[in-house]
Amino acid sequence: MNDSVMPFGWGGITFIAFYLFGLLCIGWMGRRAREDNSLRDFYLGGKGVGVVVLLLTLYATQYSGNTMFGFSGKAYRIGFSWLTSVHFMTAIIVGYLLFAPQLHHLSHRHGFITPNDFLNHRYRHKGINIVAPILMVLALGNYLLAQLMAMGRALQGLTTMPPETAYIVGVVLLALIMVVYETLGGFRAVAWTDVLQGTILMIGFGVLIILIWTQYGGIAETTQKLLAGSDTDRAKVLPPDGMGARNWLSYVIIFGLGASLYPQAVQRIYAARSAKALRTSLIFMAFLPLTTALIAVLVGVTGAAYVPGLDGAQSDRILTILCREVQQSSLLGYWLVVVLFSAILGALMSTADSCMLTISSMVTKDIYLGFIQPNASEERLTQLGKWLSWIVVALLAGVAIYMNSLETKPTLVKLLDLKFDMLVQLAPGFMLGLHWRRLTGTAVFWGLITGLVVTFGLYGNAWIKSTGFHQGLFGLAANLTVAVGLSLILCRNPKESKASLS
Amino acid sequence: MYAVLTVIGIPWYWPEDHASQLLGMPAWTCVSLLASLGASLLTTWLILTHWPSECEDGNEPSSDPS
Repeated sequence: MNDSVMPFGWGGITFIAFYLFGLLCIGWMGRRAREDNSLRDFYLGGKGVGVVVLLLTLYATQYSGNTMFGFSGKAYRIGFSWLTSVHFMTAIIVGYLLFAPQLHHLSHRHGFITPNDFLNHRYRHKGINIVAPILMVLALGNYLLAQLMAMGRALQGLTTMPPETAYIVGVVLLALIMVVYETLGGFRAVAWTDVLQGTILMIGFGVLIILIWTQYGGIAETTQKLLAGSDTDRAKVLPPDGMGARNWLSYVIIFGLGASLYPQAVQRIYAARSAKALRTSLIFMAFLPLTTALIAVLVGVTGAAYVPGLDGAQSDRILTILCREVQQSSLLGYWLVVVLFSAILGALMSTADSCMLTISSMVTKDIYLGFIQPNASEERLTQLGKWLSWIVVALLAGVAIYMNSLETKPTLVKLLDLKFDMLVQLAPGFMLGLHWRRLTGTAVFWGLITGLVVTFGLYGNAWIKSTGFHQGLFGLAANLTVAVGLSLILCRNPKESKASLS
Repeated sequence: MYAVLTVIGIPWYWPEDHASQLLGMPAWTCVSLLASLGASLLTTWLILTHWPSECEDGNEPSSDPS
């Protein structure tokens, strides 16, 4: 018997089926609401997103399968030390402050659609126009892959099908629903489904912590149980060691600089109707880690105390295992877990659909329009973008299914780390470039290349691992040195700079 | 200010075998969470009081950022 399977009856499955059908209906409504067949309308919803939709789409996009499965799984493995996640999710909002006000303003003035539209406007450098979009597509592809894998794992916990079959069905079915509503309604469908998914997600996290504490007792009992357990269990309560503390700092920096530059988050900055809407959303977002990420940590720690023995990628299933126990305890518990499971699906799909849409926009506008067919019409580009979504999802679903067949399955947090090592290399181009006129395109390009070479060159290096710092930060240090140094050499007189910052 | 909150929030200065509790959780986690709350409040204050005026709705951006 699969201990992590939740015994959903027909009532629960029907509720979830209606929920998924509702997403398709929202996709159809998004299609009906379109103003024209332009890239601006399809990829940014016409740039008229108000504060409620903006907040919930930022929230639903940022808090994903990683938060629910990956964070609770990591907290299961290392205990309270994963409070790192509360800090680094807050650091993302701090990262936004470094560039979001100016970028939002410029995007409305100049009609940016993709993140590279800003880089092209600022630097007009062919090398950056090639490398930056490819880097962002790869990083997002990594992220989308993680969501698809989590979808498969979610369905493994839902049904009594053989696990391998349930995984494949989960990946294919949920990916298909996602790509259909996105093709129908573009950004509007994604943002409006995020409103529904984000709302259920917020409710779901609240429900989750109540359920866990009702079933297992409060956090005090969990703490006592771990302290009374083995050395491994005790370590989950004690402060991290020196390397753990350095790793904590590393996560804060790399997330603050890298995750704030998620291309789909940049597009949401563009899509905000006004500076006021953006400000209000960011204020709310600054406090959400203290609810969402913190709850995921408490769930993982509770699992560590009461469900020992899960190793590696298995520990990413702790959430479904705990939910199963709650669900079997009472009728109320059953229905609350049905709602929570809908929230889980919402978290996964809301993040995945944003990744997919943004990948499509970058490949269409930055690569196809930029280098292959510069004269393509908006209508053709929008059509191409829709086809690309299908191709990307099909490819990545295949990879997700393949990776599940491997002997050693990667944990969700390991997949997450790779993405930020890459994204953080864009920080000088965006964050420094918005404030320092002397930063040149040539310097940013060579800094970017240097950063990526150092980052990937150091991958797997034992000494780097022993420091506790992500190799992406070493890459960023090299990147900044080159970008700043070259700029000081190439642009001796700021008044001569042709940099466009307005 | 963020650097100060980060230094307080990361529990590098707590002894590795420190097991005292506060509100049912390890004491160091409570301090860490307070520091995180401080960062959230600081961020809110900065957003409300230091949003660049040239980036407000309806304003033209300045041509020279320095």
